[in-house]
Amino acid sequence: MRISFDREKMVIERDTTSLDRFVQDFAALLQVHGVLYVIVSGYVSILFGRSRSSEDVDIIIEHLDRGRFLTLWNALHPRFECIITENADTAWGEYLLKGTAVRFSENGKAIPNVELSFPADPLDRWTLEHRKEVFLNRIPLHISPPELQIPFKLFLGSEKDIEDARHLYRTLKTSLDAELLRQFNRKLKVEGLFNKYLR
Amino acid sequence: MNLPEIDLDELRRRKERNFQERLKFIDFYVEWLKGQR
Repeated sequence: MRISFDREKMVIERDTTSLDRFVQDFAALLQVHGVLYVIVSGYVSILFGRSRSSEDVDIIIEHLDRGRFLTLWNALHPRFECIITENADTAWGEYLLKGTAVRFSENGKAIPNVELSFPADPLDRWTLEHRKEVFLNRIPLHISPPELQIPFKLFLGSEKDIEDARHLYRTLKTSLDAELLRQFNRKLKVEGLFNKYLR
Repeated sequence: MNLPEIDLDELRRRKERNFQERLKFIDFYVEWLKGQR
């Protein structure tokens, strides 16, 4: 795997997995329909080479009104299906608007799936606003800034989450905004975990 | 760069809700697997 950075973007070159292709295809549909999105949580570590798979990929999208959501729903449906409900209005009104994610998988499969949600709080909105562009084998994806992703994984706190945080930190250490990382460590009250497991 | 306000108590509640949602998904997935046999 080769990773290169500059201030604007990150470039990853490695073998593409079936999970990568699933994410790239889903994200491309969001992009084509002008939907702002950001990939958060476990897949971010996997993208940077962490050697594990995942059943779900968490994606936050900008808040969509009913019309835009129905357009997106129809665009997704030739390839992907919602495994929570078959009804677009239910997905929008009963799940997304009420802060619950909906899951999309490829037709006839349950995993992997995208767990799609609207921004639920200022932290989600900040993540969407400050998303980073990453090119995996020249295909763009938008991810949560690692300076937030690492402390957030420590906040979640399972062994898997701490391992994800450590992988990201060790992989991206030289490119991180150290002050931003320090501030998120402080805000999420994970300085102790950071010093214990990542230093 | 302005950092967002973070309500740690609310974040912990979200973490628990997400965990409950994942548990529900496991139930769904097990039933889906049974249907594949």
